[in-house]
Order: sequence, then C-alpha cells, then structure tokens
Amino acid sequence: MNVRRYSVVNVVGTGVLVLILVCLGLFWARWFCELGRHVLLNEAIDRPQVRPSHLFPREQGSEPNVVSPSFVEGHLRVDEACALGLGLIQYVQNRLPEAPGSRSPVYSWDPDPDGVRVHLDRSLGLIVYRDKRKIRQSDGTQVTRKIILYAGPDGMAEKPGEKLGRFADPLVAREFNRSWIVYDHNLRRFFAIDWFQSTVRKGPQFAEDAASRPVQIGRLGKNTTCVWVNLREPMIRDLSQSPPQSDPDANTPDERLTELAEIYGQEYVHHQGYAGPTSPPTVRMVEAFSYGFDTKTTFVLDASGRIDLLDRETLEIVGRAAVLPVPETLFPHKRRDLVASADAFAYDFRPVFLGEERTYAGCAVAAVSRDATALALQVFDPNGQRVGTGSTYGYTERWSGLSSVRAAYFHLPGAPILTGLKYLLESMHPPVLLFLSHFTASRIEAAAGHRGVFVLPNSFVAMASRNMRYGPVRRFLEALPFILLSLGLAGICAGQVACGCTRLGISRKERLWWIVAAMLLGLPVVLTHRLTRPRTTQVTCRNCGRPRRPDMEKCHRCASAWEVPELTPPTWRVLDGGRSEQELVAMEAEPENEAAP
Amino acid sequence: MPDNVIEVEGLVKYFGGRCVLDGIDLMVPRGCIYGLLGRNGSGKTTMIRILLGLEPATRGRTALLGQDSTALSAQTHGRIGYVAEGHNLIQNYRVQRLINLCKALSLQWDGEFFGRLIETFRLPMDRKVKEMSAGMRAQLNLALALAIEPELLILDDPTLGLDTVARRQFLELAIDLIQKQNRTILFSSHILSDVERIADRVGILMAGKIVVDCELDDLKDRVRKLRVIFPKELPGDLYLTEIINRQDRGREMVLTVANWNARKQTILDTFGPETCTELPMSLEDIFIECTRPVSASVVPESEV
Amino acid sequence: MLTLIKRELYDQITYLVLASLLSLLVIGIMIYAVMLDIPDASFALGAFTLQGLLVVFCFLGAAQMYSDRANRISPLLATLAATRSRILAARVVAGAIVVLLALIPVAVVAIVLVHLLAPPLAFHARMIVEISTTVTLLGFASYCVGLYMGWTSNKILLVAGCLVLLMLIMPLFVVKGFGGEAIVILLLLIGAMLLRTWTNYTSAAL
Repeated sequence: MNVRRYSVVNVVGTGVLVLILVCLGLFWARWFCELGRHVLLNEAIDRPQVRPSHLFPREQGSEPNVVSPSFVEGHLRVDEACALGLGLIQYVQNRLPEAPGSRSPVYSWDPDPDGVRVHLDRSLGLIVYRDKRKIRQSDGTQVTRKIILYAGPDGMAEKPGEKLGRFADPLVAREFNRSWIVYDHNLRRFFAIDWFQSTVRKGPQFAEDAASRPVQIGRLGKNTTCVWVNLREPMIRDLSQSPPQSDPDANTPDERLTELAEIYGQEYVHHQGYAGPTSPPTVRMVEAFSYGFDTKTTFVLDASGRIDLLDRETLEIVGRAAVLPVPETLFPHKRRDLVASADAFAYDFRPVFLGEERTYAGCAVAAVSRDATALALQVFDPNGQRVGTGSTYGYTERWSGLSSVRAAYFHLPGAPILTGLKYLLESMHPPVLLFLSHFTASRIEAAAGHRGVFVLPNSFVAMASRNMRYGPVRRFLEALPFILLSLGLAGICAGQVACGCTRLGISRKERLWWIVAAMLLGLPVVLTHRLTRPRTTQVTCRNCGRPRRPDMEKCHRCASAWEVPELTPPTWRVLDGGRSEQELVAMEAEPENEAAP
Repeated sequence: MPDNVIEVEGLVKYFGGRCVLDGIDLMVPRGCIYGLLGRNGSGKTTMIRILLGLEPATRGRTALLGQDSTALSAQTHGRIGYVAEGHNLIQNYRVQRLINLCKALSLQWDGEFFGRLIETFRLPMDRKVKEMSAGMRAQLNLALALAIEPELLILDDPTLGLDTVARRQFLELAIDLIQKQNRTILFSSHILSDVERIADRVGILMAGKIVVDCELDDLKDRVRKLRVIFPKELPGDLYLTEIINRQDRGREMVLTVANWNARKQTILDTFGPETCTELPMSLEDIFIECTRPVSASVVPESEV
Repeated sequence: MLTLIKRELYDQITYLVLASLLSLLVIGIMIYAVMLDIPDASFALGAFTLQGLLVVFCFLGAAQMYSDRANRISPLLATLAATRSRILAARVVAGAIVVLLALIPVAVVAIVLVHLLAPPLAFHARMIVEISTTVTLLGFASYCVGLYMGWTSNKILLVAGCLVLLMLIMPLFVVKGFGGEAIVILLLLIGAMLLRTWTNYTSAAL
C-alpha cells in the first residue's frame, strides 16, 4: 500500500470511529435531557377526562338517577417513554408473542405441551394450530386426541398442502376469540379462521389502489405501558331497592357511593338495602365489556390513523369507529383530525360493548405525541362521531394549566435550561446529519425516533419539517434557524482545521477536503484531524524563522532547502574512488595540476 | 555494478527537534563485511533500526536485500540475522521457549550448529532470560541470529558484555560465517581491534554525516599522521586542505590529513620542513582523529 | 502465523481462563434461574456477569498491547520471519478465539434452555441469530477497545480510555436493540478500531 492511500484509509477509518463515538456520546447527553424533561412533566401533568363519557344510554340528558356518571380518563406515564423508546425495549416488545403490535410469528403459546399453540409457519405460508381435544368417536366414546390444523387462505386441513394456499404477509388479530381474523397484505383481504369448525372464510378483496393499509386488528395499542385509557362505568340508582331520587337538583356524584363501588368492583352492587332517607341508596354499576368477548364487530387500525369497524361475519368494513386523535406538538401538525399510527409514540383504544347482546356502544382513544409530552383523548359514539375530547395540561406555580408540551419545553422549573441544552446538543451534531433529519423526519416511525443516534427525528429541525401546512421550501426556511448554530460551529471547526493544515504544511487540495469535511460533519472532523495529523516536532527554519517540518525536503512556508545548523560535520570526506569530493571539485577546476597519488 | 544488499539514500532522522542523521548515503555490496563506527550518540543504532524497519525515518529511503525497509516481507526478515544493542529478547520467557519460538519463526534452522553454540556458550535452557547475565544474553542472542543461516547479519555492538574468551569465540564464528559465500555482515562495535581484524570496509558517522566510507586498507593509506619539525617558527597557514587535526608544539607540528597524496606532500615541502615523519596509525587511532570535534581540532582552511 | 497465535494464547492464558470462568458462571446462573424459577434476580446477576466478561475482553486486548511494549516483544518478533501486520493479525485472531470460546458456550446453553422452555427454535431462529451475533460483536468490540488503547506506556490513560470507550460502546445494544442497526454499527466500530490500531502499530517505533 503506498503512503498516500495508507493515509487516506487511516483518516477515513479514524473518522468513522470518531463520528460513531461522538454521536453516541451526544445521544446519551440528549437522552438524559429528555429524561429530565419527562420526569419534570410527570409531576405536573394532569389526566384528561371526558366526563360524562356519553357512551352509556342513561347518561343522555339529565337523568337524575345517575348517581355517578361514567368517565373516560387518559393516563400518560411520561417517564416511561424514555425507556420505551430505547431499542432494546422495542426489540423485545416487537417479538413477544402476545403483545399488541408484535411481529412475532407465534400467536399463542401455552407452556403446557397439551395447551393451545398457534404460530405462522413461514416456510409453508400456513398458520398452524395445535390443541388437545375430546373427540367423539363413532361408537359414542370420547377420546382425547392431539390435533394439528393447518390454515391457509383457501382452507384448513390436518396436513399441509398447496390447495390450502399461502399467507404471504399476514396480520393477525391478537384477541383470541372463537374465530381469528387475519388480513393478508399481499392478498388484500380479510379472513376468518374458526379452529373449532375447521373453516376459513374469505372477505371481499380490496382494490389494488385502495388507500387502506391495516396495521393492527382487534386489540389496538402501542407502547401501552406508558399510555392507557381508563373507563369508569356509571353508577345508577337501583330502583328495585331504593326509591328514586326525588330532588331533581340533587343529581350530583355521590362520593361515598363511588367509594363503595370501587370496593365491590364492577359487579352489581347491593348495599345494605334501603333503610331510610339518611341511608345511602343502593346503586348498581352498569357493566361494560371491552376485549375478550365474542362481538359482532372488531376493529381495524389503518396506517393513516383511521379505525374502522369490521363485521366478523361478512369480513367487510362496515363503518368508521374512530380516529387516532392529534396530540398537541410544539410545531402544528399537518392534520388536525387524525394522526398516522407511525406518527404517534403510543396509543390505546378502548371499545365499549353493552348488554347481553354485546352491542357496540362507542369507544375512547388516546394518542401520544412523538416526543411523548402530550396526550389527546377522544370519545366516539357507535357511528364514529366524536362526542368528547380532552388533552393534557401541565401545571406550574405560575401557570395553572398550559398545554403539557409547552409546559414541558418552556415553563416547568428547569425546562428552559433543558430545552436550551437540547438545542445545543443538537447543534453539536454533524450539520449534514441535521439536514438529513429534516428531510427524513416524516419517514421515521415515532417510537424509533427516541433511539436516533445519527439521524434525529425528534430534533427541533425535524419537528419543523413535519409542519405540513407549508410547502417544502417554507418548511426548510422555518427549520433553518435551528441549523444555524450547527453551521456556525461547523464553521469554527473548519477554521480550526484550516489553521492546523496551514501550520503543518498540508497541501492546498488536502486542506480544502478537510475544510469541506468540517463544514459537513463539524466536531468529529476536528478530532479526526488531531488524531491523524503528522506527529513531527517542528524546528525553526533558518531562512524565514518560522517552524518547519523536518520530514519535508523544503520549508513549507519559504521553500528554502534544508539546513541543520546545530550539527557541524567536518568538510573533509574519505569516500570511495580515492578522492574526496573537494579534490574532485578542485580537479575539475584545474585538471592540468592534478598528480597521481 | 555490485549487488547492494544495503542501500541508504538521503536518510534523515529527527528525534523531536534534534537531528541525529542528516542525509546519509550508503551502499553495502553483497559479501562485504562492513564496520560501522561512530561515537556514542552518533546515530549508528538509529540507522540500523531504520534499516530493519524498527524505526521510521524522517526522510530518505532505505532498503535491505532489495526491499524497502518499511515494507520488508516475512521472507526477507527470515534472511536477516540481527543482534540488537542491549539484546532484544523477551525477558519473561525461558530460554528453551524462546529458542522454540525463534526456531518456529525461522525459514531455515541449523540445529546442529545451534546446538554446538549452546554447548560452547553453556547456556541454561530452563532459566528465564531476565535471570541470565548480560553476557549470557548476548551469547544467546548471537546464537539465535546465527542459527538461521542468515544471508545478511546485522550486529549492533554484539560483543557488549562478552568476556574475552566469548569475544574470541564470536570473532571466530564471524570469520567462519565470512567464509561462506555471499554472506554480508554489517556490524558496529566500539572494540576497533575486532573491526580491524574482520572488516573489509568501514564507515564512520559523525555529526549526522558519513565522513568515511571506504575499504579499510584504503582508509589507512589515505589518512596520514605526520610529525613535521620546522627549522624556525611554524607557518601560520599551510595551505593544505582536508586537515583533520593539527597540534603545534614549538617548532613541531603533528598533522593528521585526509586523502593524503603527492600533491599535498609537495605543498608541505614548499614550507621547508626540517623533518617529516609519518606516524603509523591503527584503525583506533584513525577513528579517534576523525571523530575529534571540529572546533577542537581543525584549523580554518584556505584554498590552495 | 500459527506459532504467533499459539504464543499469544499462551502469554494471555490468565485472561483465557478468567473469561472461561465467567462464561461458566453465566451458564450456571442461567441454569440455576431456570431450575429455581427466579428470573428477575438471576437476569440481573447474569447481565452483570456478562458485562464483566466484556470488560475482561477489553483488558485482554489492553494486556496484549501493553505487555508487548513493556516486555519488548514486537522488537524481537519483527526481526524474525514475521511482519508487523502478521504479528498484529495473530494477536487479533487469538483475541477472537478467546471471545468465541467464552461466548459460544453461553449461546449454546441459552439456545438449549429456550428450546426446552419456549416455543421451538424455528420461530426464534432469527432472534437467536441476531442476539448471538450482536453479543459476540459487542464482545469483540470491547476487545478491540483494549487493543486500541493498549498501545501506550501510560497506565492511567490506558485504564481511563478503556473505561470511557466501554461506557459508550457497551450500551449500544440498549440504544439499538439486537437487530441489524446494532450489528452494522458494531461492524463499523470494529473495523475502524482495528484499522486505527494497525496504523498506530505499524508506524510506531519498536
């Protein structure tokens, strides 16, 4: 390898090393800033409520016998978000068999070898079901037998075969009802697999250019350890046990009854019986059902944020149930009506079914912003109409209720410092990566944004990019002030590197490369330059009096030849050829005077 | 054109801001026994280390056996035997383990010869290298360098620490090696009688330059020390070039001159000396004269 | 080359033994946790021991380079029929052997336990490959940190440098998980550190 290529390889290798280490260091610094902000917010944030929830019939109008109305509450554990965003947690979550949003091919796994086990066999393209069942034989006796069933788009059988078809890219509803709903992205249709009837029903095929792209079916949720929707059913006076409320004005929640209902749980409560006007009335809790029961409809979350109702019988979309609400962000979001599933850091969906018929009564949805500082809560009736909204607020000593995102960034004690630090740390990032963060901001999934080491989807620059009210030019201009500091620091780095190159006598072309690299990558280039620059002690040039490199033939400042004044060798030499150099020179000048030794 | 085993062109070496070698040019042909001489700190060891690729040069080019010193292949290394000043041996190893390692990493190994050497030097196999005396380490280093049957042998003060008997044994080994065809030896030593005994050519390093680089016999012929007695007072300027040293005592002058020839004799005769006697010089005497500091010995010269 | 590798392994036998012992300890903790069904404490202990193993790899690399300078090993070897590149390559191969010898048994035992307790391996094949690859590369990256920082005669700089770099590199799997991203970054880190070590070693005075 020649010296030139050796040097370039050394610089590139060192540069890669420094870039990765600097970015990792900046990542952890930014992460701790974010953690600090989230810890502060966790203390100050409230829980948005929609009260009454409007999901229960008795709550319509001013029903006086509603002792305690229902409400829907959104819980946001802000401090969990930092940990949830880390790659390790996401990696494990995405591979746990029964977690919402899991990509595991194992759908159900009972540790008992005789229990139910269901998984996708990718090589066959079939869903495999294992169970132990009692089979009635022809003679009337029952035997327990292990069964294995293979389900494909075209049917189910006890042995795999081509006639069953292949699932190429299935999405399975992880709600484990009697019939399993599956959507295949390649085949563009829904399937209902009934393991007990051993049938596979197909729904209609969607058009190829249809806008739908289901991402979850059945139990909908993402990062549900940091967000969840809590539903408290209403408490109604039990008219069979106690007289109706006579005072129409006294329709206020009865705290004692609420407490009792919580003690006894969500069963029908019969408390002591009516013993007079001073005794608390008997109430009963209206029972609502959510997941885990056979219902006529299930839910499909689309990538756009729309939640549709899917009829389990016809396997058709029969209406809209809800949308993922738009949480407040520092920069206005492109749409105000719904947020894409990839744009929400977390969401939870709570449907409500009532009565023995399990009639769909509506739902509540909560979605969390990308940076996990705000939650939006909405309640929808059975027709998909929004009937209630709520969002998070942050409370400080000075402010009694700011949007939680503004409180988190600017108004909580210590928040301005953390925000300033965030900006500074982002500015120390290589400018070219900040530009890349701007242009890729919308393409990176929200949860992945918290583990960005090179590209920063949660930076101010990226947030400005997601303000889709404006065109790309205006968005870039909006983001420019956030990049200016980074460019300024890169300019300083370029100046440092240029001075270093001049001092070391590095060629003009090479110096230009270093300057360009410093403008693009900033701090890592300065460190790379320091680590790879030639390590020679410079000596003073006799001609110009400035430091020069002894490994260069000529002074890189004045181009004078090399002299070593501190060494004083003698002028004579005894070298090969019988003559010294001086004699040879003298002989050339006066050849007629030369005598043979 | 002889095949040069060692080539040095424009070699410059700086340690920090201090120049040690200032433009060395040297060619050592195959089959030559080259004695490299110089005072302490003149750069002999530095030059040898640069030749072997152990030290990077500041400027210039060096080559061994036709390959650049910075890119010597394993094969080329295997053809070179090296005894370093201070004896580079792995101190924590036992002698037997060190021998096994060197044997495994050699291209060829004369086990019989090595065995004889070990017997001659009476080296203990089970002792750690750091527990041996300096002389024994020197002997071990030498034996390891010779056992690989090197095409080029580089010895940096190899007899340092050896007793008289061991030194004599080394010399005999060296002579034995010389008699094998195409072996080249580069060695530096402060014991000039040894160098005088075996070297074909000598080089002397001084003030970062090679001031002497010729055959030994030629050197003795060309550097002359003369005692000149003048009838009256000593002449101020002799108009002689290449005076290495001049000492005046009354009417007597002792001159050491480089590249002595008839012309210089004629010039001296013009001053009418009473007597002019040549003082015989050994290599050691020549070395001492040549390496005397310039300010202490040389009278400012003028052109004839 | 084989001679050089054997020499390295013999010289650093202490680290080889230590790494093997820690590896056995991790295996013991895993089996113990399964037998007694105490996953949480065992997981913490096992993770801590595994981190200790990574630190051992780092100090193996550091010891190889530091002892080379201290005992002047390369000045001898470089004058035998070996080049500096070969000497370094043998060193790296020896280090890789220690890393693999320590981590492969852990991976094998983990796979066996998963096979016994969890859904069949075929479902987790990709996950197992990703986790094994990431942990092995993490071990090798820790080793490369030691190799890179070890070429110094300053013990304080050596220890401080190793610790700082380990603190940055070891949590990489926490940031990026065990997937392709972590593997790519680790490969780049390993390549860059080896290249830098090679540059420093081949251009240094011996």
